[in-house]
Amino acid sequence: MQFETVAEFLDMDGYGIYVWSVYLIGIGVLLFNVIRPRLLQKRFFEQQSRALRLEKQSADSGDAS
Amino acid sequence: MPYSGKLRALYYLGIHTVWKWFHLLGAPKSFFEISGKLLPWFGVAAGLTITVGIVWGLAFAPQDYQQGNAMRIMYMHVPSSILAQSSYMLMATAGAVFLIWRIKLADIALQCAAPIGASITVLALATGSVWGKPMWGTWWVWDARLTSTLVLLFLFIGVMALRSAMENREASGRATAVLAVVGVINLPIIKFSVEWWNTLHQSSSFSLTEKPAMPAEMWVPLLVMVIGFYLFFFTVWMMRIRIEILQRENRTEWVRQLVSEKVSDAV
Repeated sequence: MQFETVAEFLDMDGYGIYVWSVYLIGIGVLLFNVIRPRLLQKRFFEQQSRALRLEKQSADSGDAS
Repeated sequence: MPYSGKLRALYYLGIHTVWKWFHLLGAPKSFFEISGKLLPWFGVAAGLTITVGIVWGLAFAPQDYQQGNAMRIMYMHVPSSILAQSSYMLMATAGAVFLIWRIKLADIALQCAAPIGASITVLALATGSVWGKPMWGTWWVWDARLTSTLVLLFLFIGVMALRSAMENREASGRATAVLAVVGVINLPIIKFSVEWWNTLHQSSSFSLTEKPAMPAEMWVPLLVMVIGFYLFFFTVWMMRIRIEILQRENRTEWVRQLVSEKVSDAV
C-alpha cells in the first residue's frame, strides 16, 4: 500500500480530482458496455414472445372459425 | 520421397479440419451455442482481472518520480488506448473476411465491434485529456497523436452511421466493410505519430517487443489491466454478436424454439 491514510489516498498529492474522475469515467464506460447489450437482449425476447403470442392467438381464432 | 504421400494426406487433413472449424464457427447457430458456453468464463475472467488491476494501480503501484500520483491515470489510459486500436483492427479484419468469403458472421462481428470500439476510444481520449490538464496544462492540443485518435473515433462512428443509414443489409454490409478496411491506414499513423512528428504526447511506454523502461512494480499491474481490457472486449463483443444473431435469425426454427422456452420459463 502506497498510502498511510484514507485522506492521503483520496487526495493523491493534489491529483485526486484527476485520478478519481478518470477511474469513474472508466468504470462508467465499462458498465455501459455491459448494460447496453443486456437491455437489447431483454427487449428482443419481449418483442419476440409478444409476436409468438399474437401468432398463436390468430392461429387459435383461425381454428375456431 | 517415401513420406510425401503421408505428408500430403496430413496436409489435406489439416486444411480440412481448419476449414471445417472455420465454417462451423462461421455458422450463426453454432457460434451462438459455442459462445454461450464461453461467455460466463470470459465475463468472470474480465471482471476479476480488471478489479485486480484497478486496486493494484490505484493503491499499490509506486508513484512516478516526475508525475507523482497523476501517473495512476496510466492504468486506465494505456489499456483503453491499446484496446481502441486493437478493436479497430479486429473490426477491419472482420470486414476483410466478409468481403473475401461473404461470411455472414463476419458482417455481424464488424457491426457489433463498432459501438464498443467507439466507447473505448472516447475513454482513451477522455482519460488522456484529464491526464493532460495537470501535466501539460491543457485539456486538448491538436497534436498528431490526439488528432489521429480522434480520427479513429470518427471512423468507428462512421461505420455505425453508414450501417444505420442504409436499408439494404447486403449493400450496407459491403460499404461498412470497405470503410473499415480503408480506415486501417490510420492505425500506423497513430502508432508512429509520436515518432514522426514532434508531439506533446510522450512516446510509448509499452511495446510488444521491448522490455519496458519502467520498473516491474509499475508495468505488471499495467499488463494486468491490458489483459483485463482485452478479456472485457471479447466478453461484450460476444454479447452483442449473440443478440444480433438472434435478431437476424428470428424467423428460424431454433430461435423461435429459444423464445418459446424463455416464455415458458417466465410463466
